[in-house]
Formats: sequence, structure tokens, C-alpha cells
Amino acid sequence: MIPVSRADVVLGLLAILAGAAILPMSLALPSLPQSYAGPSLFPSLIGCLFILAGVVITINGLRAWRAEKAGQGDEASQPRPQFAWRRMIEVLIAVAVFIIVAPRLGFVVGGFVLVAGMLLIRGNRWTTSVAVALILTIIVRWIFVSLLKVPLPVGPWGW
Amino acid sequence: MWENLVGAVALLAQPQVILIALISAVFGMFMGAVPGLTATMGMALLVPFTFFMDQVSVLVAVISMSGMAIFAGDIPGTLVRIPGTPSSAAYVDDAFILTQQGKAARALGLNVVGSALGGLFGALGLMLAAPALARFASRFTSFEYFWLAVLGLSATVAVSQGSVAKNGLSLLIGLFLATIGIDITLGIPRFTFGNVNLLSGISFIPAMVGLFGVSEVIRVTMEEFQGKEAPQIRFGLVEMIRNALDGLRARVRLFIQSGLTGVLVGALPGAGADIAAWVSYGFGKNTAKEPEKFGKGSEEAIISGTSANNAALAGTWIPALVFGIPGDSITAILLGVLMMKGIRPGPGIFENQGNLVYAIYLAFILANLLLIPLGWVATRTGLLMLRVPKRILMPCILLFCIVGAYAINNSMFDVGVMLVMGILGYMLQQLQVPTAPIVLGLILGPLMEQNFMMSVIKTQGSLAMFFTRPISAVLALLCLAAWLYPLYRKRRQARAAAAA
Repeated sequence: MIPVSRADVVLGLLAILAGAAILPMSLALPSLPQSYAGPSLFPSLIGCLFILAGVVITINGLRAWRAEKAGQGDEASQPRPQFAWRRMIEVLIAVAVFIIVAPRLGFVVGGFVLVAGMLLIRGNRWTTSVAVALILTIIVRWIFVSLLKVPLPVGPWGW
Repeated sequence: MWENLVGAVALLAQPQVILIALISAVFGMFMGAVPGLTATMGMALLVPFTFFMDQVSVLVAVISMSGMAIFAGDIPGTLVRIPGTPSSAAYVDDAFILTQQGKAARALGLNVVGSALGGLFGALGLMLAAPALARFASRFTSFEYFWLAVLGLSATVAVSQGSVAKNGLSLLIGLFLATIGIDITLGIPRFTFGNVNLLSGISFIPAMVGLFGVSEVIRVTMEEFQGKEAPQIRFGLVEMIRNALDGLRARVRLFIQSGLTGVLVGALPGAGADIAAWVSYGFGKNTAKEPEKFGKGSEEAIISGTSANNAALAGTWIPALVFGIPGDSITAILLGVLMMKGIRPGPGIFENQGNLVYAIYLAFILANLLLIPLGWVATRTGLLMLRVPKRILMPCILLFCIVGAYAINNSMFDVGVMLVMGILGYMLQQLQVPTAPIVLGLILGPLMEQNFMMSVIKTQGSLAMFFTRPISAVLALLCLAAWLYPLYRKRRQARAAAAA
């Protein structure tokens, strides 16, 4: 990963971009008749402030970057943001699969697939994974649906 | 007052309420003692269980869970130098050094009793400050509420640690998300991109579950606790209380100072138990008898932190109850749940729902008294929880997050909101952008906009009333102070650096 200072430059630029996207959309919203107030006022302000915050973060990042280049400490010792891309994508896929499966096949199947899949990916034995996932989804369904009357997605077979 | 007290006792003295208090305390103990799980995450996981609870049970569950979690974070901190929650981080070195010196029993006793007494002090602060503030606030109109929202937003950025620009960015993300949906003045959809699910706005609770639950499922590494053989400590309950009181008696002034700091920091929007512990630790160091011992096994350091973070919990309820402005992320989620339960916080609830308010006071007192025996049990079992395998635990937590996010509106779209917010929250955290301001933005954004629009419609566009009404003017000045405070802090730091 790149050092924090450079990551900050990226973050700042992203914030400026976000502001630049929000601002024209906000200005296109109508105002109250003969008034500056209305639906467009606050989003427009927020858009401007996004750009301001982005500029400040970018400048701070560039300054820190220059200080680093000026030779205070070597490249390797700079703190770097860690992105656990793998764990992020695991969670993304697991929840996405649940969103697709659960409405069609019910909570028990969706939940089982989600938990068993996550457990397997995170290095558990498949026997443990299947057992934990099965017991957990059944208990959760029993507690929420039967005991607490909280509705959960239902499959064609009623669970 | 007396009839409210009697009413409150009747509300609390029900078997299922007591049972819920006990179960929540055990749950809080678990959330606090397992590093990587926090009190806020506990609140997020509590959400689906609150659907079936009545109003009092919800309040009791949250009070009992959060107090226990903030205390239990001390246990792994003291015994193996891994703070269980961020709130225990400030004084973890002091507590652990005492353990190394063979004084673990003493340190844990201070943790338990200091937390409980700190919590009781906080309860006292809540009981005194909230009704007084509510009487004052009953005179507020849309002009004052507008400034109050601005003040809350400003304070969030001003008191938080780290970069002001990054805190501001986080706040702006929350404010922007809050504008999504039907606008309140003309009923025009904003930023919905034609999606029907977005018309009613981003659902608050799924967003919270994502920010504080899912992001942690991603963040917590799978490295299991490799049993550094932790010391086995056994001590009696009475012995523990006697020892701790002995340690506290010589430092009553420090304790009161820490409790006050906790309540005040807690009452500031956006700053909760973790910041309270750091601020109080700093104050303690400035005023202690032996400041040079801070960080090197000082009992004064432990008292400063451990009582302040528990006192802060009650402090966070002050703005939450009086104005509907959460003092920390726990009360933010709680406010979302209360809305669902038909409780609208505001100055009015002190008059209209007096029984409920007194039940909150009593629940704080009971939960903190309960903390002493339960905490004593936890000091014996807390280390077992370090051994819970996280590679099994975290996927299970993800399932509970989904249940909570889905069940609130029976909507898979909300599960998607949870997922997006989880990933966003994780990435922001890794870029050292704090996520708590997002919550404040989400809650205070609509409050600010609504009251502004109401005000300018009343005055036909004139802004003068925002500055000419006396209370309004004072609040405006406070906002100005909050904006200037970071500049002042920066200059002072620069001067301190130059002097050193």
C-alpha cells in the first residue's frame, strides 16, 4: 500500500470529485418561489463544503508527502493504510449471495449458505462450518420468527 | 416527583425487565471483554431483539449492556494489555504494569468499583442536569433548534481527535446521506436516481448496523489470541470492594473530577466514553499527586479513566433525552430504536412521560449497583472470552447484523444499505477518518434543515431572528466558539512544540 500521506491526497481528490458531482445536481433542484431557501439550499452547501474539505485534505497530504520526500525517515517506515481487500470482498460476496438467495429460498437456506461459506473461507474445517452454520441459522430462525415474531424471508416451503 | 418514582418502580419491578437487565449485562460483558467487539457493536446487535420489547425493557437493556461492556473492556486490558474496547485504551499500560507487579487483584478491583461508582456519578449528573436543561429548552423554537443542531455538528468536529478536515468530511458524508429522499419543504425527491426504495431516505438503523457491525466483521483479523498464560487471580467480593474503596478514599477529589469530566464529555454530541477516558486521563495527569507515575502503573491513572468512561455513558443520555441529539454512537442507535417505539425525545418527555424518565434514572442506578457483583464474576471469566475463536465468531455476527438490518422494514434493500455502509465505514476507518461524525450528520442534518426552513418561512426569508432572539444569539456565539476552538488548539500545540 501507499503511505498515508499519499492515500490522503487520493481521499482529498475523491472528496473534491464528490462535491463536484453533488453541487450541479443540487443547484438543479428548485427553490421556494422568490426565495433562496428550498430543497436546493442545503445540498448545495454540502457540495461546496465537500470541495473545501477535499482541498484541505489534499493540501495536508501533499505537505506531508513533501516532508517525507525531504528525507525525514525512509520510505518503508511511513505508516500505510491497510486494506484487507480479501476480507472486504469476502463479506461483499457473502452478503450479496444472501440478498439473492434468501428472498427466493428463504432465510434458513440463505443464512446457512452465508455462514457456512464465510466459515469455510476463514479457514475452518468443513465439518465445523456446516455444523455451526446449520445450528446457528435454525436457532436464529427459531428465536426471531417463532419466539419474537420478527418476520424473516420465507422460501417456497415456508421457512 | 414521588408519583413518578412510584410509577418508575412499578415499571422496573417486573420479572421480565429484571431478566432482560441480567441477560443484557452478560451480553455486554461478552461484547466488552472480547477485543474487537465494542459497546456500539453490542448496541447494533441488540436492535433486532428490541422489536419485541416494551419501552422500559429497551431502555433497561441498553443501560445495562453498555455499562457492563465499557467496564468489561478493562479486564483483558488489565490482565494481558489488550483493551477490550477503545474506551479502556487510555489507561491500559497503567493497569497492566500493576498486574506485572503482582497487583492484578488491586487493579481489577479499582476497575470494577471505579466503573460502578463512576456510573453512579454519571447517573447523578443525568438526574440533575437533564430536567433543568429540559425546563430551559421548553422555551426553544425553531430558531434555537436550528442553532442547536449546528452547535451539535460543530462540537462533533471540534472535540474529536485527529484531523479537523477528515472529521468534517465524515460529517459531510452523514449530512449528504441525510438529504437523500423526499425533501421536507416541497416534497421533491433528492438524489434518489429514480429508485423507489430511496424515496423515504437511507434507513438509519441498517446504516448504523453496517457502520458499526459489518465494518468490524471486515476489520477484525483472524489472528487468534495465543494464550500468553494469563495470571490466575482469585479474590473475594468483599475483599475486592474493601481494597478498591481503600484506594479511592485517598483520591476523592480526583474521582469527582473524573466523574464530572466524563459526564461533560459524554454530553457533548459525538464524544462518548472513549474520548472521555482520554480527556480525563489528561486532566488527571495535570492534577495528580504523582503525575510522573502516569503510564507507569499509576492507580490515579486508572481511577481517572475507568470512572470517567462509565460516567460518560449517562452523560451521553442528557442531550439525547432533552434535545434528541445523541451524545455518542450508542445513544444514536438508541434514538433510532426509540422513534420506532413511539418515544420522541425532547423537553416534553420530562413532563408527559415522567415515569419513563424516572425509570431511566433508576435503571442507571440499578445497573451500576449490579455491576459490582457481576463485574466481580467477570474478572474471573473475562479471560475465557479471549479464547473465543474469532474465525467462527465473526461470520455468526454477520448473520445477526443481517437479521437486524432486514427485520426493521422487511426489506432486502436495507441489507444492501447495511453492506454499502459497512464497506464505506471500514475504508474510512483505515484512512483514519472517524465514523462517529457520520451518525451525527445523519441525525442532525434533517433537524438543522427542517428548523431552518420553518424559521425562514415564518419570517419570509429574513435571517435577523436567528441573531436577535436572545437564546438564539447565545447559541450562535457558542457555535462560533466551537469553530474557532480547533484553531486555538492548533496554536497552543504549536506553541507547546516550540517551547519543547
